[in-house]
Amino acid sequence: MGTRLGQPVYVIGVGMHPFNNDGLPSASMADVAGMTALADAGIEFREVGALYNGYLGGGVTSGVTIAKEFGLTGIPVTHVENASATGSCAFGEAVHAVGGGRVDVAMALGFDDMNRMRGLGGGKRRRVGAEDIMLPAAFFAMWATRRMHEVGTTERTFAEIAAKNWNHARSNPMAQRRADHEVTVDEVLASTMISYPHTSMMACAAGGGAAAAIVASREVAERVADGRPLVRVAASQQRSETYTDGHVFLGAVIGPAQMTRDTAGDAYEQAGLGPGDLDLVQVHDAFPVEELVYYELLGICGDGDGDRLVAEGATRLGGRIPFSTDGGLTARGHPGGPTGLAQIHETTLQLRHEAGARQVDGARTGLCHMAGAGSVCVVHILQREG
Amino acid sequence: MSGATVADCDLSPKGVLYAWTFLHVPRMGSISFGATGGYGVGQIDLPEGVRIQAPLVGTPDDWQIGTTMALTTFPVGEDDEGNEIVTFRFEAVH
Repeated sequence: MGTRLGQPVYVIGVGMHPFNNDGLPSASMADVAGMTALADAGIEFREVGALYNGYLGGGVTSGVTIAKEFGLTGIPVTHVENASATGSCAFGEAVHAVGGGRVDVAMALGFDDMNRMRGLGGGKRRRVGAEDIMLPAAFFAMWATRRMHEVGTTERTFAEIAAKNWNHARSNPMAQRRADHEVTVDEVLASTMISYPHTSMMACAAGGGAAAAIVASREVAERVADGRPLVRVAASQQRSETYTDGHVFLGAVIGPAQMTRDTAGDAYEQAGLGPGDLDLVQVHDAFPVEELVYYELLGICGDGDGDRLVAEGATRLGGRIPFSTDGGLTARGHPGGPTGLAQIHETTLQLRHEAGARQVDGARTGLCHMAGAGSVCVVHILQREG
Repeated sequence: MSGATVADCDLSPKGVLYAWTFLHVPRMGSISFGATGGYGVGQIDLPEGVRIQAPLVGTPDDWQIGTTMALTTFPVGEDDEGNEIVTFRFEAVH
């Protein structure tokens, strides 16, 4: 049931404001990310035909207000919100605006500060019901305890994934959590217990930040390439949930795991690729159990084999298929709106071979996966040409 | 699935624990979890084929996947007219 692009779409520019916990105004961070992406693309804002703003906490009209900083060019400006997958969905809308022929150039801009948001589905006069007292951390932790029961996964494996992502972030100037030392598994295990078996160093970093990506038609991409390789959007897929055995309708935060397998399947089909063709992957690693399960749901390994992948170091930088190369939600951070666009930022740098100390040798194809509360899954595959 | 006939069904107050965790959060809104330092939540499979989510009574030592769990209620406040509001949770049956 995947969707189509009518014509090829290319990422021509990316930009970010570092993710942080400094309480900076979203508008100024958005300005930095957007202007950086425009400079990276080598275009001016007047060439952008449509802008899709992704944010959760800015309030009504913030996206349109922020757009005025870039110029009063009269283009359509649209607010996209899909929980954690907001930035990924804003990117998807920009991709489809170009792929569908609406415009030649579109921009996706994500900005937020998770610390200033009210809870999921927040309303002032909310009653406290049985499911209201389950924080998102609880749902991921229940995945983890069930996984431990079924597969024999240990707390140490979860800690290894988190430590890996902390260490990936050490060389990412855009990351929120940049440890001044090699983070160890024991250190992760010894941090504060949040929701068994997850500790605070396994939990994604909530904070603020901004990220932007500009996409364009092949004609524009070739014109502005300036000697750099083209990065094509080989797949752009988005799903909500379908019924599964043991379906949990309320409060499941990101919906059934099967949704990731289905959305990835759509993306592989659209790209004409399989998991074996990927060089690097970014996922929604809000907690390490997610990354572990996604190894399997994305088809990188068989069901139940994810633990072995961790033990072999296959998913760390230098391994067979590095995951969360920029630190992931764990350490690069998860402000909300910009998170999915940070994945596009990282993957684009990697495919251009501009990722510095984090560079995956010879990277040509990268997958970005995000899940969002309410049951949203988005998968993009980016591929280097030339 | 779409278009299939549906019918009301009474759910059993007992089921089997499918997954659980313990949240180290001392309070939620007006509810304090006092000396326990947090609260458990779980998913319980009922014999009718329904999986239900709820807070759990007790401590992690009380819960194992596969444990038989039974429904109980607990107060969570009052409505605008002063009537007590209760919600449900599950506890292990030993």
